Amino acid sequence: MKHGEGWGMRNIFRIDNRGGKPGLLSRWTNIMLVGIFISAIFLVALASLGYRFDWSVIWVYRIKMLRGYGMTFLLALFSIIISIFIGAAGAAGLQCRILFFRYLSRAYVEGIRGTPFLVQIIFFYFIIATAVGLNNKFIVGVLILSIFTGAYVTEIIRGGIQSIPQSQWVTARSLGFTGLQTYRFIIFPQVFRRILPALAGQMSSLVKDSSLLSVIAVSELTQNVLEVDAITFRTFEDLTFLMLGYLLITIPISILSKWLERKYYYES
Amino acid sequence: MNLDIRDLQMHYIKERALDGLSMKVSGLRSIAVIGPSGGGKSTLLRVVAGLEVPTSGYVAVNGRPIDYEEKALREYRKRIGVVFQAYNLFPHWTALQNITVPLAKVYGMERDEAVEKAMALLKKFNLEQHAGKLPVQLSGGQQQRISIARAMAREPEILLLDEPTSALDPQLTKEVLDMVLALKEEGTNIMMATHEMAFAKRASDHVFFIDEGKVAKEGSSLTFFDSMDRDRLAEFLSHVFD
Repeated sequence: MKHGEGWGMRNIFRIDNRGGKPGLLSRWTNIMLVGIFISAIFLVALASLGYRFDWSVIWVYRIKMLRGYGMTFLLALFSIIISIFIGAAGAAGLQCRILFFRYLSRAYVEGIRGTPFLVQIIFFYFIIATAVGLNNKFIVGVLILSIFTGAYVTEIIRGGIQSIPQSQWVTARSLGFTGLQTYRFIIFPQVFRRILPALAGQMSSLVKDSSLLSVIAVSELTQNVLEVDAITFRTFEDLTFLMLGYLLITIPISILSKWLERKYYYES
Repeated sequence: MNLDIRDLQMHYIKERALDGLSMKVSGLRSIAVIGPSGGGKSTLLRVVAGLEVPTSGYVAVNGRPIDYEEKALREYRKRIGVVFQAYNLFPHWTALQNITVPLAKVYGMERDEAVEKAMALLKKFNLEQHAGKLPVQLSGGQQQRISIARAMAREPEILLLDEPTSALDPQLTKEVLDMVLALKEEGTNIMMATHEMAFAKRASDHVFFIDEGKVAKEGSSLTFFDSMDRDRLAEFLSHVFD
């Protein structure tokens, strides 16, 4: 009898300490238990409120909510791309030998990371966007999200670059690679692999943070669902839809990241 | 190989790594640089490799003075093969790619040609079964041998070895040293910094003992160790092995 198999059967509620993966039965049993547990909390809470579900409101306002969803999706898509470019530029700035760019990057990172996103949105929208005559709320939304997330991406990339040992730079140099080639063929591929988990987390945050753009009435998912809620008062149903909507974007990001991590796997 | 180094100075903020070092080598195959840690061996090798710019001084390799300007240095480095103590290989590339990518990107060689050349080298050193492996799948000795194969792929004027075995377990050291010895026998020009005295004696024609940033003593490796002042040698060896 192997260790951990007392009473002649495996304990499906535990994984052994040998780092094994749970079996199929074990996995699904426990996933269902978690599902039941979470549902029970909601059901008890709702029962105590005497709440009666009416999911039909979702269907009635589906077009409006899906439009908002599409907007959130596009906001996230553009912001993810732009924020990665900003992050790369910011990280390059932090490494730059020209002090002006170095301090500019530092000021950007500290300024953005040290102030609340909500305040930045209001500040950017009412002061900067107004001053330059930028009226398109979608563009304003993408810019704010990209600038905000770019500061975090800057730090993620900087950390990634610094985690590459100095010996690799020297080796690349000794082999005759130029600085740009070293970045492109040696540093970047490794940095990419190392920062993937952090980057994916940041992109999930971006998707969720986009909900705050509702304060300047960007017509994204949260804004639309809150508008529907103001009409229907079906708060539970509306917010459930809202949360599932975000999960539908963030979970694929997380899956994609895990897949890429495996694909570019090269460490022990 | 010919080396002409005159009054080399390398000053860092807190120390003088090289302090008026001069050495002249003509027509030799293999030289060893020995001496206490911090004596300037590694700095000397990095200066000769074109990886560090000396504070002042003159270095000529095979009659051509090194121009310590970055662009000229990059061209110069293509003529030299360098192997460091450890962690030479790029971890995201297979053993084969570690050899072929520099050939392709630095020398502009066609991919097929680079692969052919790399495989021939791996075969020669009995490493072909490791071609498709990532560095993490290889022992330290195998990694180091592949680094040497990579340095040889460029057919370097000089192969510089900076303590190539000092990060290895003793049992892995031998396979690396055997490879260096084989290269020496077939006529590769080698300049190595090493702590392996017996090896320095066997694998080099001439030995330079470097201490406090200068050549303290030099001689043919046949006679060097015999003639060396006993106290000095004992002191040095205790330095090395403590």
